[in-house]
Amino acid sequence: MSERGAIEDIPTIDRFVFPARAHYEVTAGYTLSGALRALVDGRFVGQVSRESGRVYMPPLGACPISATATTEDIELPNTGVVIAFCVVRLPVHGQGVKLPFACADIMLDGADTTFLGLIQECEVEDVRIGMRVEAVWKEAAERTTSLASVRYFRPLPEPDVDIEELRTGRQAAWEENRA
Amino acid sequence: MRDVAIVGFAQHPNVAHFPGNEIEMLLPVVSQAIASSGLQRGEIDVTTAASNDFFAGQAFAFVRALDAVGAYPVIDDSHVDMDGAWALYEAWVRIQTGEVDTALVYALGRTSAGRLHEITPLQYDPYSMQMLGIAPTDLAALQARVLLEAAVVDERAMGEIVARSWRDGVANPRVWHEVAPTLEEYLASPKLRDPLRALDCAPQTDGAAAIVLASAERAADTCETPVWIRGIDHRIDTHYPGARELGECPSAREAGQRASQGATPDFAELSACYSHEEVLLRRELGLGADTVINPSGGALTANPIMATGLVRFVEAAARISRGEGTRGLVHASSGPCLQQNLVAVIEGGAR
Repeated sequence: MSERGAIEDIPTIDRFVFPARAHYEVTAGYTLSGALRALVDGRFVGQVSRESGRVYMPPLGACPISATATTEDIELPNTGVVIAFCVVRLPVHGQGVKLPFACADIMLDGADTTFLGLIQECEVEDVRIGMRVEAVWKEAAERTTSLASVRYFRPLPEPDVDIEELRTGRQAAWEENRA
Repeated sequence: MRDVAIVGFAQHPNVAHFPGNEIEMLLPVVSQAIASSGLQRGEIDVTTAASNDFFAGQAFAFVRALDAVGAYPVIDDSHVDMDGAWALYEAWVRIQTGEVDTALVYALGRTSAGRLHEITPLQYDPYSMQMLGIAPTDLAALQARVLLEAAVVDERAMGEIVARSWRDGVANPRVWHEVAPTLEEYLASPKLRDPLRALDCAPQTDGAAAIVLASAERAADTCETPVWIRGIDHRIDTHYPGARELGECPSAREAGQRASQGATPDFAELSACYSHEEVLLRRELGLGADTVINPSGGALTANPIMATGLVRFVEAAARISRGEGTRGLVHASSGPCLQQNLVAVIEGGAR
């Protein structure tokens, strides 16, 4: 009879490596492509839903409120409001910004959705919800079809906005935007 | 059991590459399916969806796709990482529970961002298969070889399936090809994975499909020509191809028996993504000369992966609605070499 060991005696293989690779060609889509191209020109272009009155920036092609396609561009200003923010105190891989820095959820004036941007030209301690900010764009030659074309947002010398009031105020805009 | 009907359906035309994004492809399909059901969006009790983020190439693409449905106010939604036919099965089960009466099912098959032969191997067993980079077509070629050697099929029969599928596919406005290869052209074409030629393999297309289901009570209110789901079942063979007898497909056989209960369909829409699979499926599902196979052109001409099976449901329901068929067998498959099989029998007429 051959000698038999316990299963615990078998040395297990804890790791092995294999080269997994997948190539993609991702399409931004008709709607987002328009918004991304506008960034090259240093402009924010969102889309408005005539069904719900909502303004989407960035626009992804649909209004989830009404479940209809958005097809109409709307030019948006360089200015907006900090809706939320976090302070980055530890290095982030691939991020060359001096620590600590604030990363904020920004709603442009006239928009109903937010996107992320850096806050610079102020101390992180001074960043707050409701703070008015404006975009600082990269030089024309450096701008691409990416939100990275916005170098950062900086504070505006204006009084803070009350977020509740801002949201209430949007309801009138929705009425106006409805066809 | 509750009687459940297909009361609305739509699909996106199958194209090699859709230039918009997922939402832009899906939204009109979902809207059209709901509109054709006669139901209002707010009357849909549950949404079940099918898609795969590996194919989309973007994390949480399946969540973003919800914009096409409008998750506002909040909706009851579920997602499967399988073909849309399985999402339909889940919706059917939900209606059986009595918890819901109506359901929207959609499948997103926009896969042109990635490459089938790179992505599918990542879903295989990580210890024994993944690192070998085996693609579905490589495994399908093994099965084709087994069937050829056993004389279950021959080269000419495979060529006839290809020629017939493309002839029907070209006549189908939802399939993008304009020219069908003949049997002679098939035989003269080179082998891709011997014994398989490129023409034996379904193209990878971009597409999407949506179906609205309703209980009999709701169907009677909303729809003049409901298409009834008379039986539905899915069965699974073991996942490791090396543990299977590739000349047989017991999961398809059993699912077929349970779904059809002996009734002979006058046509069948099969998710045979390789020509030899059709031969095997016909045998396992007991489909004879009385049954027209893949009148739409089948998966060999329209294969939006993740939506291929749901497209079969749409094609079958459309055929019955047009009065060109009365009882259709619908088949969907998942996994290598027909590992998982779902079969449904659908019928027009009275409840």
